[in-house]
Amino acid sequence: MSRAMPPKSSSAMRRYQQRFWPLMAGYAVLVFGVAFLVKHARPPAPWLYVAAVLPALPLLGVIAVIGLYVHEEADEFRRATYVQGMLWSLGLVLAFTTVWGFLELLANAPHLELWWIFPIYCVGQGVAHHLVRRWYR
Amino acid sequence: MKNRLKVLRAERDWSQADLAERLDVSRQSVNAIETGKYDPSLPLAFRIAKLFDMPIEAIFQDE
Repeated sequence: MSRAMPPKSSSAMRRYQQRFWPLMAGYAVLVFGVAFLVKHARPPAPWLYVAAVLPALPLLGVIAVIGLYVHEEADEFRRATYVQGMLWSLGLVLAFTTVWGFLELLANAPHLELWWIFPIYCVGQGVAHHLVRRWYR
Repeated sequence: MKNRLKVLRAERDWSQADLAERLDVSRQSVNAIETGKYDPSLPLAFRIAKLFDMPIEAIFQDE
């Protein structure tokens, strides 16, 4: 065959990776940096709020990166499987947090910190995307 | 939706990767369409019809 094989990952997925990992590196630095700062420097109230929001900013960037990927992916099948993975994960997160909320309210289950929702969604998205793609094989 | 993509591809001795490259989609897209698990959008169906020089309804049939 004279033509080159098409790349396994699309250019949109490569851009997604290029945007995603620097944001995650920034997140790791900010999480530990701000925790250290808050513990040792004890900033006053307005600055404490600003500092507390800082680690969330790269994750907001990740949400934007996910949206950009869905917008930029030229291969409609890849886009469809990714969006199906998103919907599965979104549904699972909604179901899990709803059930857990009532467990906390009525059965004294341990409190689930809200910041866990995004990592749970991301793991769910990764697993669901993989399973959706397997189903289409 | 049923389609004749696999037959049309075989007649031209194209692999899934060959067809995918001609359509500018992933090989997984071609496979999913061929197995009937994924129905292409109207623009992609038109691209497929144009590539095989056939009307869409000669390639895709409603089940």
